[in-house]
Amino acid sequence: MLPTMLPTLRTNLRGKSRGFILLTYTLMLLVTLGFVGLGVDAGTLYVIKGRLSAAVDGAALAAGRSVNLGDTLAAAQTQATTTATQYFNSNFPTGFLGTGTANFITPTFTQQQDAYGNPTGILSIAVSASVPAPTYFMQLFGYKTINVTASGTASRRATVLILVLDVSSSMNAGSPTSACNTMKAAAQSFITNFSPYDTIGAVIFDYTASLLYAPSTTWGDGTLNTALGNITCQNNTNTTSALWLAYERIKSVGLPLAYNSIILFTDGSPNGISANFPARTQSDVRYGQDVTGSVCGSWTATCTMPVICTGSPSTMTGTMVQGSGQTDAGFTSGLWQPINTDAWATYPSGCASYFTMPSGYLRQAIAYIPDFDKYGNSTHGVPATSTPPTCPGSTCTVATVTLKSTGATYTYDTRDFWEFQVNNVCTGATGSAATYCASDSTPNQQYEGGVWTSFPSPPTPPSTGSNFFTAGPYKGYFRPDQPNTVVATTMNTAMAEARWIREDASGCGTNGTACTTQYNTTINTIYLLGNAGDQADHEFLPIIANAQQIPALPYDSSWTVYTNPAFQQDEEQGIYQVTADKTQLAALFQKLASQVLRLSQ
Amino acid sequence: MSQHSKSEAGQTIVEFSIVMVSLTFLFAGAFTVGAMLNKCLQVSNVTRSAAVLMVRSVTDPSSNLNLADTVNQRILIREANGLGMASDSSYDPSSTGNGAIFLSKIILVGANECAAGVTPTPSGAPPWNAGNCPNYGSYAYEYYVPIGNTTRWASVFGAPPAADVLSDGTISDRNIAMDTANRVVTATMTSVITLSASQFVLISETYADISSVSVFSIFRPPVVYYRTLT
Repeated sequence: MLPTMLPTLRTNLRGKSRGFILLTYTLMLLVTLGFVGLGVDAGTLYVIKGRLSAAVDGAALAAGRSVNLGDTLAAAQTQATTTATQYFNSNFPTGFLGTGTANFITPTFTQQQDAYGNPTGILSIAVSASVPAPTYFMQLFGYKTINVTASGTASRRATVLILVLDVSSSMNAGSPTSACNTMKAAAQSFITNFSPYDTIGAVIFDYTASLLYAPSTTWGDGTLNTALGNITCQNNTNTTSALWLAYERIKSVGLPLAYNSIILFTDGSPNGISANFPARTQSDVRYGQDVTGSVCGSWTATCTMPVICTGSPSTMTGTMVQGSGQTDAGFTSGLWQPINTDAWATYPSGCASYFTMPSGYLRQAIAYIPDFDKYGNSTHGVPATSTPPTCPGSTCTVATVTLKSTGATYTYDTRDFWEFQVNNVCTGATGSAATYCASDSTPNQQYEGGVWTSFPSPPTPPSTGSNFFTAGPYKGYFRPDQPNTVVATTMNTAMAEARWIREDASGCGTNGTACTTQYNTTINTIYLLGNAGDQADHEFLPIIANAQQIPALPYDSSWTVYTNPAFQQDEEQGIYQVTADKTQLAALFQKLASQVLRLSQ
Repeated sequence: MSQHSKSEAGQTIVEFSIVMVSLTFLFAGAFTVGAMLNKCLQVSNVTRSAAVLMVRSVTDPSSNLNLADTVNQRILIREANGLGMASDSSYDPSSTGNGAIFLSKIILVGANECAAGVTPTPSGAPPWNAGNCPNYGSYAYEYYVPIGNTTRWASVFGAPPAADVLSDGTISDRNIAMDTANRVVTATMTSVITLSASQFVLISETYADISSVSVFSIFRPPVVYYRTLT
C-alpha cells in the first residue's frame, strides 16, 4: 500500500510548500518589525533625552546667572526660577518630536560645603524636568508614552566684596556736587548689581580705617545703602590700614572658593603711615618746631631738637599723617588710630608732661619711620620684576634700596627717593589732557613725583633733600619730620600690603588642601584724579591692582604704555581704572560690576 | 525536470523577490531612521558642548579659551566626527563642509553697557536713553564666532558687522553701545527669549546636512538645526 501512497503524499507536500516562504516571512516580519520599531522608538527617546538634558543644563546655568536680580534670597530664587523656566521653554519647544507637556521642576539652591561642613562659596543650582515621549511601534505592546527625565546642575561662584572707600577731606572738592557725594551715589548704584548670595562689606578710611558695614549677605535690606549714604569725608588717607582691614574681613567671611575681591576707590596719594615708632632718645637736627617753641620756632626751620620723651614704652604704635602739602618742610601729626577699634598710642612718660597727643609735636617724640610698618609691610616698596623702558615724566621708580635695620638690599619699585609736587604734569598738555588740566579742582596744578635730585624748583630747590636722615644718630632712616616722606613710605606700604594680600598663604594646607594662597583675593582699583591738588602717580594704583600695564593718566598728552615694573604673573590680576572727571565714577563702578560678575559666574 | 519542479522554482523566485524587495525597503528605512536619529543626537550634543565651551570661554577670561581660534574649534569638530564638518584629519573646520556652528552672546543694552561704551560720558548722562546711547534698549551682539560652512548657513539671529568682531570673537564696549548695525532684530529675539536690561544670553546653533545617511532619496532627511540657550 505504501508504494501507492507515496506519490500522493509527495504531491500534497509539494502543494503545501508553496507559499511557505511568504508565510514564514510574514511571521518573521512581525518579529523584525518589533525589533526595528524598538530601535526607532529607542532612538527617538534618546534624541528627546538629549534635548531635554540640554534644556535643563541651559536652565540651570541661566538660573545661576539670575540670582542677582533680587534683593532678598526669596526674590532672587523667584527671579532665578522664572529665568530658568524661560530658558527651559526656549530650549525645549513644546511638542518636540511629539512629546507632551513638560514638567519642569523648580530649581533648588544649595550652598556647597567642604568635607568638614564649612561653606566653600559655591552655590549649586539643580534643576530637573520630565516629559512624556510618544512611541510609534511600542504602542503595539501597550506602551503609548514613556516618561523621559533629565537633570542638570550648575554652580555659581559667590562673590565676597569689600568696598574700600577713600573719605579723606580732598573728596569734598567739587561744586555743586562734591566728589564725596558722587562716590557715595556710585557705590550705592554699584551694589545693586549683586545677589543676596553675594557677601558685601564696606571699609572707609581717612587717617583711620573703619569698618562701615560688616560683610553680610543681607545688605540688600537697605542697611548698606543707608550706611553708604551717611558717609562724610574728612582728614587724611590711610590706605594701607584700610586694605589690611578689608582683607581681615574677607578672611572672616571664610569662603575660599568665592570670588574674593577688594574694590579700592581713592582720589589721591596715601599719607598716613601706621607703625611701631621708636621713641627718640637722642637729639639730632630736624625740622621744628619743638614743643617749647624756644629752639625751633617754625615747622620749616631745622634745629638741633632736644629729647623730651624718656621712659617706657620704647615704641609708640599708631598712624602718623602728612599735615601740610606733600613737601619736604611742613606739618606732620599723630599718632592716630590705624583702625578705629585700635587702642590709642601710649607715649613715653616724659612726653605727657609737655603736650597732649595726637599732635604736630610728634616729630620730637619719635626717632624715625621704621623699615616695616605695623602690619609687617616694607616701608620701602615691593620687589621689582622689570624696569620701565624709559622713565616717562619722571625718574624711574625701580631702584636699589637698603634697609637700615638689617643692611639688606633689594631691587624695589619704591618711592624711597621721591619728592612729590615737583613735576607739573599739566605743563604743555594738549587736547583732552589740557581739558582735564584746566577743569579739575586745582587747574593746571597736577604734580607727578620724581627723585629729589631730578627737578629744579618750584616749589623748592629739591636737589639737596632726601627722605632719609643724611646725618646724625638716625642716619639712613626715614624722616618723620617731612610730609613728603610720610607720603612716600605710605605709598610703599600700601603697595606692599596689596601684594601681601594676594600672596598670603596662611590657612593653606588646612583640611588637606594644598594651595599657595587661600583666598585668591583680587584688588580692583578706581582712581579719581583732580581733587585738591593731590599728585598723580602712574604706577601706584596699577601696582596695587597688579595690572599688567601702566596706562596713561588723563593728563598725559602722550604716553607709552609699559609693563608694570612690579607685575606678578602668578598673582590675581585686578582691574585698574582712572578718571579725572568725577561724573565718570558711576560708569567706572558699573563697568567694574560688570567685570566682577563676569568673573564670578 | 517535471512540470511540478518548474512550477516550484518559479514560485520560490517570486516569493523571494517579494520578500527581498520588502526587506530591502524595511532595512533601508530602518537604517536611515536609525542613522538619522544618531546624527540628530550627535548634533544635539555638539550644540550642547558648544554652549558649555562658550560659557567657559566668555564668562571666565582666566580660562584663556578662545573659541575664535581654529585650534580650539577642533574640540567641537572632533565631537562632530562623521557629520562632515572637518576639512582635514586635524579636525579643522571646513568652510565648504556639511555643517556650521554659530556662537553668539546677545545682550539687552542697559545702563551698564552704555556706561562702559559711551565715552566720554555725554552731558546729562546718566540717565541713559537711545538719544545718548544709540543701542540702549536694543538687543546687541557682544560676541560672535561662526564656525564651518558659514556660506551655506547663517544664524537665525543674523550677524554683527564683520568689522565689529575682534579676533577673539568679542565686540568692543563702544560698538555694543553705539553701533546700530550691531543690533539683533528685537522681534527675532523676543520670539525666542526676552531679556531684561543688561542681561545676556549665550546661544549656540548648529546646522548639519545629514543626507549622506539616506539609502534612498525618498528617505532623505532634512537639514538638522539645533539651538541651545544658556
